[in-house]
Amino acid sequence: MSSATAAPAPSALEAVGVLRRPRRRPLPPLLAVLLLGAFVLAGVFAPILAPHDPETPALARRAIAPGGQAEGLVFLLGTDALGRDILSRVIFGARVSLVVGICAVAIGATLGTFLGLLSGFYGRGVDALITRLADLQLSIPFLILAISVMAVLGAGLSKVILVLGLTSWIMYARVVRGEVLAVRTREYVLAAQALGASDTTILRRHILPNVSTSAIVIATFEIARAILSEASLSFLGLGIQPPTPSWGGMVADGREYLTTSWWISTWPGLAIAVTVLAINLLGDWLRDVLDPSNAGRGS
Amino acid sequence: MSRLVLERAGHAIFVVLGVSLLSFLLVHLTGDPASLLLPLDATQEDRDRFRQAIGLDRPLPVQYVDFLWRAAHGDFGTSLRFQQPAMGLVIERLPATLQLAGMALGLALLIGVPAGLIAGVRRGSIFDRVAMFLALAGQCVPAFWLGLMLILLFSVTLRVLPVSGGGTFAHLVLPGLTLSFYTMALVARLLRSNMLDVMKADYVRTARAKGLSERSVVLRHALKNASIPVVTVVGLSAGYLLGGAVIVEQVFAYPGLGRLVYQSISNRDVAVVQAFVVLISLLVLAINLTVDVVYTLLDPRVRYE
Repeated sequence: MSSATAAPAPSALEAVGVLRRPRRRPLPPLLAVLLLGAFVLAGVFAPILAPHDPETPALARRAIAPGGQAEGLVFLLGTDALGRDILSRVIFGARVSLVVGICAVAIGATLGTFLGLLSGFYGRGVDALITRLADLQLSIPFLILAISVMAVLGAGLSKVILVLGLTSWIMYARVVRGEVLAVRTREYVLAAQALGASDTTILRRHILPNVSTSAIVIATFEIARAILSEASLSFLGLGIQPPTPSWGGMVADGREYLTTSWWISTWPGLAIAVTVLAINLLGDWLRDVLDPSNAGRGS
Repeated sequence: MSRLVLERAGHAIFVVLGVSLLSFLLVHLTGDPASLLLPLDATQEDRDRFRQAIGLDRPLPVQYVDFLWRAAHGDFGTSLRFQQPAMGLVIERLPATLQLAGMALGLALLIGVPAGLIAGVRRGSIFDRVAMFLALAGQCVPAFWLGLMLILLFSVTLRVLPVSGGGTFAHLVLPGLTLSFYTMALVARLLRSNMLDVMKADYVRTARAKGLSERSVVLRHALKNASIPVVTVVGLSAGYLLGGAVIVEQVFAYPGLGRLVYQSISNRDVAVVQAFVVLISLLVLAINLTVDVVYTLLDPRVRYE
């Protein structure tokens, strides 16, 4: 199984999970952190970093190829059909993705963790109701649910955040529920109960700290999913409205000009792919480092 | 076995009721359905008359029961735009979308299974690394962008496949490939990791000890067991494939359900959207039930749980 290039064969201790070490070489997470750093910086400092105005059309310099010049200015990634600098729009687009990703996940993680705690701690009716709700939501394809709700509500940043946030609670609820079941009968919880601690105190002080690791790992992957979903909705015209630059919307803008100006759609799409890849790599790494139960599984 | 079937049936009824309630509430989400269904410049009088005409002045539960009754008979109202029954319109477009989703699923298995199998058996090889990197990337690339890039490569630069439209097999290739990418990546990654687990199992060691050829060990003993979880993923992908079709059809101007729904959204033609949500959800439910049954047939352990 092992060769010179493959990872060394696991020792017996590693095989049974006693002795763990990070399976991935440190390069992917380092690369992911660098890319994510650039993404967050671009989002936060967009007005300072962007070389040009991202929203005002300038028809005299429309569809300039990457690296081209006009009016004495250089456009590194070219300009779009309305003459706006694509690099600046990609930088401002990072801001939209960052805001949507963080806000939607904050809503989903809070709601899901809360429901998972209730479901696992109280069991019975509460548990059955929450499990049923999850089953119901999962039976409707996510994109179809999001598209139809957005179609009725109308597009807009806050609505995208709300729809993506409220629909992303299931993973947290399921995992947190399982973890609560595992720790609910531990001695320290029983001791706290015997000492007369209220349910709220037990949940907050003794159970929540034990489930937060899993919630953090899920949240990382969910940020990537929220960014992809927002891009899809914006591509369909149901997400962020123009002229605000969003990566999905920018890809849609370039669709008509694909044969003549390939760069309009290409750059923002690449930005989505690289960002999502970086977040997923970070998530894989976090899962390996934070969650002992996953060590040694898969590759 | 029969308890399992009963349980699943009860679950299905619950889901159908839930989906219908959700679809019903879609119109009421903004608070006032009249303002959603009527043009923006409608007068208050128009609104009141409209409310009475389609029964929006009745209590919500009554309206829901009425909606459910009509939905059970396939009546979701008339499309404002096409002046035809909404469900009829949706069913008319369904075959084209099913073809697209079927093509995508076929491609995902045709490429994903061998890729995952070889990567799992030849762990650490160049093939393994390249395939797994592509699979990782495949789960991060947005489908609508991938579609445009494929058009750029195959239609604009190489000029071998049509840019858009529908009707012939050639029109299915690019949209099918675009839609299949995510599922393909998922199948390849899952099968690889299952193969790694299964190859360490006792029965594989026994098969080897019996002196079976490596080929027979891998294909007859390992692959058969490693592919059981893949069946579940394929079932769960039904929802993704049918939902993703909405976007992919938009990219390729493919004349399926997605296009219809997209147009209906622009025209505020809510009846069509409702019929679509209910039909797709029922379809996904039926597919998942089928997969559950197939699963119990494939894996005897499930039957006795």
